[in-house]
Amino acid sequence: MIDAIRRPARYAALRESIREGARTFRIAAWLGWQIESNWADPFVFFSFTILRPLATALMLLVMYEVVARGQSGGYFSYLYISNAFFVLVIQTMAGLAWTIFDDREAYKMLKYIFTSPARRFPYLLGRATAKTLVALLTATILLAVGVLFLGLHLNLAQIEWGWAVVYFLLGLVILASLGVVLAGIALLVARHGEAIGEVTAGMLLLFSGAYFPPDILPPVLKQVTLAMPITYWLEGMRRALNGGIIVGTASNGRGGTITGPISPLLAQFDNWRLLLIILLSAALSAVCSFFFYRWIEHQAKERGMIDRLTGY
Amino acid sequence: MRLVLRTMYARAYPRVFGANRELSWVFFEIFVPLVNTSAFVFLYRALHAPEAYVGFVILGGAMATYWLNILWMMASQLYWDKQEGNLELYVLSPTSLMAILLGMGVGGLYMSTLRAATIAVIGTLIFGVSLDGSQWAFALLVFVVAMVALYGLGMVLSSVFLMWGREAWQVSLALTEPVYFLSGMNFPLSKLFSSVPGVLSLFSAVIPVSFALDALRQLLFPGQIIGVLPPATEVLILGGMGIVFIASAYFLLKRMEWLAKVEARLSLRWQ
Repeated sequence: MIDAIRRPARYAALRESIREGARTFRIAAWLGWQIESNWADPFVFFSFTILRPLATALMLLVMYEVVARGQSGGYFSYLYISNAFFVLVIQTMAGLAWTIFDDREAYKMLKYIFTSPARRFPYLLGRATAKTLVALLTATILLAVGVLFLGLHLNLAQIEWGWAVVYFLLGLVILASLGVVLAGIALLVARHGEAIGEVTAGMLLLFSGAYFPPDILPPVLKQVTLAMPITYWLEGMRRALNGGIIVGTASNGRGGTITGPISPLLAQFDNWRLLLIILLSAALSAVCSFFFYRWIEHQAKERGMIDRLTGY
Repeated sequence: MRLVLRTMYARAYPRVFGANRELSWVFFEIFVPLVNTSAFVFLYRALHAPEAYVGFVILGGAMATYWLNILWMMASQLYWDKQEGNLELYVLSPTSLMAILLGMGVGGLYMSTLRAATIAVIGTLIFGVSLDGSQWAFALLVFVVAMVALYGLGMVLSSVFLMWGREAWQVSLALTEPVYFLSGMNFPLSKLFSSVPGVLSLFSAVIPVSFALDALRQLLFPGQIIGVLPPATEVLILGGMGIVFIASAYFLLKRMEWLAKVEARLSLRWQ
């Protein structure tokens, strides 16, 4: 009898909690967008946003051209698609870590957020949403520029849209979870907190097979790369957009050429195995990041770090 | 003159001694850039590029340290100082902003050289790069002249950034990868000059890193790269740039400081 009375009360509390979380998320996303964009008109803002990834894409194109001289087109697709989606890796992870630094050091607002009824987890995710959406737009534009001007072969009819959507959404969960972990670390790190997101994302360039197949790495680095969920996510996105495993032509070392997958190692995984790995990674990283953040936030409170200023 | 030297010493001090006290830079500014540079090395290896290209990337990675120092610790520094409240104190003090910037430049050069040299040495050892040291004296001359030009450009940018608020932050971000591309940080500059429109080549030529890298690559990897110009010509251009940039910085700084005062931007924060 008492249980029957308590159950609706529990559901009501849960509903209220979800509603409060959604409200915090919405307001934080709007705040994030205002902070990101209010320093310039939309055209200037967008130009600055697109300039960096476009320059990286052009740099990769010239590096590819200077060596390959137009051959082994599959490798260019591998490189270009990875680079386009790597923008999301940088922006999502850096966006979340940056939120802590920005609120604590630049605007000195973090202590007020903590003393308000705003839910911290939705707040963090909301603040990073603007950066993630801009990154998504940037990735789309990079792909369009690649197809229209740089010789990237993407056929809309061949794109496996279902796989692309599933991989993409699961990838976002992984990236956001890693970003939350970095945001937690940023709470405890004195100085360098502002760079921690970009720095980690930069390191992932080596350990995600973004620019080269993991097959060519020394054994230890190869194992590290295969332990990174981003490796499988990028492979999934490349495969979905290409309409299958990307194949290239390379020298066989005896004067001839050989045609095969750019990464034979990743080609061993079919789409379902890839999905399983990404799904498990997403679930595991979401749960772990939640508990890790709660624990580290408690540590930060215990050490009086929520309102600490470390800039110099 | 004595005041200028004292100011330079005072401003360079935290950068020179700070490098030894805050050891986290070993991770953030050597290990991380090295990992990043390694990604480009493996890209060339995956493309079966000639081994000299690995050397080009390592050299580019070392030179990137100076460019990042120029952007974040020279150009944006006055913006940071404004945020922290130091800029008002600089202006109130009897010294000049030019002397402060020179001090920043000297300190920054020391820090960056420590980092660039470590990256170059570790990268060279790990990836087995073989350099030709027969023209080391000429290479050293190129490097010194390039640094004068580069830090001169940093001072010019500082004066412009003095006027800006958060744009300074965004401009610094926007000048990172595009400059890596335009200066041929990871590939021979001649390839860029032959494949981009003339106006972009002009932008590239104005960045001292471009000709510095091209000349250094020609001197340290002779016969393995086609330079845009002979190294002697490039060093002359860099020398000219150094003079122009430092003279421009002097006049721009005075002008911008005046404008910043007129528009009340010296103490304007969070905009």
